[in-house]
Amino acid sequence: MALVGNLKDLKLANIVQLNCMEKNNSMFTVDHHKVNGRIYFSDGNIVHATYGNIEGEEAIYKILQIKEGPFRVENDVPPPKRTINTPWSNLLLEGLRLIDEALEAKGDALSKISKGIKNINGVNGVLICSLFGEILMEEGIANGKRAAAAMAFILRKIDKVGRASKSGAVKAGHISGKADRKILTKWKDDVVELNIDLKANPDGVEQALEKIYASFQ
Amino acid sequence: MSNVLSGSLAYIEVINILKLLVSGDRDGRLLLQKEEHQETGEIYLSGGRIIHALCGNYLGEPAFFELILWNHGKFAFDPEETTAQKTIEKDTGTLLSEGTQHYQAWQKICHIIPSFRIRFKKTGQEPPPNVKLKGKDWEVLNTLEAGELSVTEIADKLNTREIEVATIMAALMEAGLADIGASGKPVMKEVVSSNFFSNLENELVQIIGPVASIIIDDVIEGFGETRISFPKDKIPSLVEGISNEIYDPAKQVAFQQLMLKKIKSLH
Amino acid sequence: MKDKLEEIDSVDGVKASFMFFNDGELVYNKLAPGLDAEIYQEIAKDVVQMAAIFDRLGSHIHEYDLKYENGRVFAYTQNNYNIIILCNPEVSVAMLRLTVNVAIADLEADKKFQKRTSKIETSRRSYLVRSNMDPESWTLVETVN
Repeated sequence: MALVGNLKDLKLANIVQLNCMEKNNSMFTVDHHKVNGRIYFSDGNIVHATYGNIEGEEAIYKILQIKEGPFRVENDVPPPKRTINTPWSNLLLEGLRLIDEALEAKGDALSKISKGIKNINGVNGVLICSLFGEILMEEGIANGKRAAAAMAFILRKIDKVGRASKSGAVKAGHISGKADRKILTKWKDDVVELNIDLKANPDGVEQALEKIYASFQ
Repeated sequence: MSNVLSGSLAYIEVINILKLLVSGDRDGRLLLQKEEHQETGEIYLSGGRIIHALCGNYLGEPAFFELILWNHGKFAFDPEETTAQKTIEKDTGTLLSEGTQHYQAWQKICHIIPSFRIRFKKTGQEPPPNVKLKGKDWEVLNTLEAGELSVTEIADKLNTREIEVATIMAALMEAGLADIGASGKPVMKEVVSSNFFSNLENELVQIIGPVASIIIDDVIEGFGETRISFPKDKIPSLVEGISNEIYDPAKQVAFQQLMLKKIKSLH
Repeated sequence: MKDKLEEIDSVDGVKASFMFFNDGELVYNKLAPGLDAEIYQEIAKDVVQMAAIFDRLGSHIHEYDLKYENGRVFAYTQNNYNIIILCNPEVSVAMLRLTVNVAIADLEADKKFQKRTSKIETSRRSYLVRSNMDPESWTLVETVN
């Protein structure tokens, strides 16, 4: 094996550059949340890539978005086919541009949503995170990283209960204790947690939140 | 609490009251109170700038734009009531100008849409050739397929603000596509008997003492209802509201056990 | 116990309710359409795992009101047992809550029930093990721990 590591320590762009400039004939593999991504290098260029069922340039752009995961690079692995003809430097530039664009759009949407949430009476904390527990936005929440992991876990369980009980897709979870009240919802693929005052009307808060989501449709 | 300015919203518009207070560089709170559902709203000023508004589930600008449409009920300005909250960033001049436009838009339709609670129906006619309907207009019209609905009910279904639905409904009525429903008024619900509350109060006094009457009235007010016409189907929610005010867990349970028996006997 | 579940089952909009003791015993009067006892067990375990995660965060949660497109699931997580209620979306929530609160108070005042629950040694935390869940959920649990 030529190279083994984790993408959180070594940038994919550097790995691509290395393999192309060394004119290696190699295969880069990464496993990301149960999906396998591969990039085939031949004679100084990228010639083929796969990400799950996706092939070609689109697979490259998907793989470029992976921020962490174990990878390996093996030498002398011939590509099964050729699906990419664009020079590697162009691929990297385009890929990074697409990522920036998507992040900006998402960032914009999230910032509008969190602004809207601030206008809801009764909300005293907000956490938005991915289903993998990565924090996207938080305010007024203690111990963000643990809270995000917990909420991602909870929403996955809520999803699972919905499927098992044949109740369909999740709309919202209202979770209450003596000193806590939370509303958990999904926005696109992310988890939105609102901590609300005990005296607030949770249905009213949920309705106000739905109106914010509706303004993005 | 001192009242520098108070009166009835039937004689002066909220936006004009605010213009007066802003031009006087006032600090304080403008409290608004609607008659029918005893809803209240608050708008706070600091040095003549509007800094915070509160109305039902909303804070800030959304609350402001709701409150300036209120045209019946009472208002009172208290210069001693202040707040540390700052939910409105927009420049007051701009806010007042936008508010005026919003109010005027509402004025145009409020004689067509007399109330958000009256139900409307589809006329079944085709849109006239000069009328172009947009996506949201069709959405509103289509909600009437299943039967007559009020602006409030449609706004709820479509997760849209009531004023937006009302504006669309007014346009649909002018185009001949919708009309006030045959049912006219909202459906009347079955209400509790005349001695329900006196009985309830007697039972609750045994559990928590003389404060029972105040708690019952507070909870009823919170629902926007009155003792005289309290809907039967809201009794479980009433019980929930009252038991949340009983802090002793044993007494809370005793009350709930009693009320569950009563509710079962009503059906 | 079953009589309390029957009372809950009689609330407008309730499809079926069941009780799950943390030591694994399942009690129910009827199965909701399309479901079996194994599915009840699966749902119950997911609920206990949720409660265990909230324990780790120091939040003492006892009520879950989960709204879905075609249904609503309520879960009440007490120390050693849980009550789970499968409902239609239009269930009478206030009536259900009132019925459940009274049922729980009656159960916990009952000596036989007290004896039953006092014997339970299985903790909620013991449900948070790798073998009980998918790898991604386990990673999340490790972060919370």
